[in-house]
Amino acid sequence: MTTKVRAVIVAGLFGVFVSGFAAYVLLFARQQPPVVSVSGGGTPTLVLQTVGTLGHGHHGDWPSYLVQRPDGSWVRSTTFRLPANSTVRVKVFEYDTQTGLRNNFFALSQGIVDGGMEIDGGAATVTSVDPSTVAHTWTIPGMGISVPLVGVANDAPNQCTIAPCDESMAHRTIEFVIRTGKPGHYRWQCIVPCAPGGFLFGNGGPMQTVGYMGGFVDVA
Amino acid sequence: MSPDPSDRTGSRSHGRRILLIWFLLAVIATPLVAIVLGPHLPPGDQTVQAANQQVINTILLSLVTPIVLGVAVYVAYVLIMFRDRGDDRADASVLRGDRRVTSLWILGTMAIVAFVVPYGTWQWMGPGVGSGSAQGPEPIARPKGEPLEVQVIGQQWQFTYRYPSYDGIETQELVIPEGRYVEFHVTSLDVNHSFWAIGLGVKADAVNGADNVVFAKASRRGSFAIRCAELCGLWHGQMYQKRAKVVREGAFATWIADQVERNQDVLAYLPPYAHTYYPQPFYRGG
Repeated sequence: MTTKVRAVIVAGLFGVFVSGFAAYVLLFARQQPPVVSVSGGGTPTLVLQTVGTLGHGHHGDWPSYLVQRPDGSWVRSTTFRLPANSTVRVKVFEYDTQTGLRNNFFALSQGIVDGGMEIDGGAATVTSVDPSTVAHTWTIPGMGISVPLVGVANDAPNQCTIAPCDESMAHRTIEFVIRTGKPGHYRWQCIVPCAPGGFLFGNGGPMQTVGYMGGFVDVA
Repeated sequence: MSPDPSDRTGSRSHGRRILLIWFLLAVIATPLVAIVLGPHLPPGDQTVQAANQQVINTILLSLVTPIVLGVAVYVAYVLIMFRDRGDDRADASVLRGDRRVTSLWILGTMAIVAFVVPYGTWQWMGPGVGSGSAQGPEPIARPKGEPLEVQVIGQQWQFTYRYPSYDGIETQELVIPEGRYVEFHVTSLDVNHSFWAIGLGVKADAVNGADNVVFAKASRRGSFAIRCAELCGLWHGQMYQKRAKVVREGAFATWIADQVERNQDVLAYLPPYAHTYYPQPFYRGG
């Protein structure tokens, strides 16, 4: 085999490797869930739902957050863009069952306007819940916000197993208002160790993957 | 033609030149490092412990400066003076060790280490001086007096803090008073983390089932950053807080009173204050 042939083979293999790597990066980048913006005058509303299992796709058994687009459709995404220095109402339809907190401190609602949340349209605001009834939390450490989301009873009838879920299925509704403050890029996560299966301490898989149980809030 | 290294007279001349260049550079650079760069070295001077660590870093860097300069000057001089000029084809002469230089090097470095190890250890763990080695619940030395106990709880992916002398309340942010010793008890609810309050000069592993103790006494008000220094999952890089504060004693009293009030709705759910926690079940999900 001549030197020229060897060089062509090496160059070819290198080209295949580089192309494969570039394709992998591009595919990974395209898989990132979309950014959903919330805007409008007054107090715009960010509408979310949490599901115990997506019921389809590559990670069909993973729990996840979904967000409602302005046109009313639901998309699996955990990156939200909120207006700066504004009050934003957050409405969460909670379809998952109760897992319970590892740290009961997060049963306390924190960093939200008036300190409390409304559960299932109740007139009174609630500042804490029984930690064992919590399914997920919406926790933004950089903003000092953490809200426990109570889950539906484990034996509730008509539970949703395929997302997106609709309000005819067993759910809880949690509403609260946040003040966004100055522009910034904030990470948020669910602090309940809610990943199914053998993930270490329940904090693997969906807990560590953007688009499921954690993401970002872009305040702009 | 290149100088002949085996020429003893020439070698002495080169040696003197190297020594002179090194000496001049060291005399200029070492004070600059100590006086100009030293006050800007991490971890700053927000606590007594951080300030002591800054002094250690300044001393170490000042000791290292002439050594690094010596090596750099020697290498640069040799590369320049004994480079191949194209007219020297002879084999290099045999070089033999110089007992005096070797002895000087060994004794010098031994003296530096003999000073640095005890001095550094004292500044690291000495009572009222260092932050402690975070080797467990029984520190080798404790500062005098009654410190404010604050528990640091690591969990994926956020630190929270408990104040046992204030009903055992828990908070998302760390606030400590100026001028008072704080005794941090560091633990974890899940995987290994590491509590690194950079500006305080404090770092301790957060391990489930372990209680690692470190100390700090803040001498200057302001904010400081906290980050996890132990790879603890994909969100590890985000386990970072900029909100921690050192405040006046009065402001601390106001803040902690507010936190006690806010905690009233959750105090009944918090486990009794302990130095370690084993929340069950460990494996959840679904």
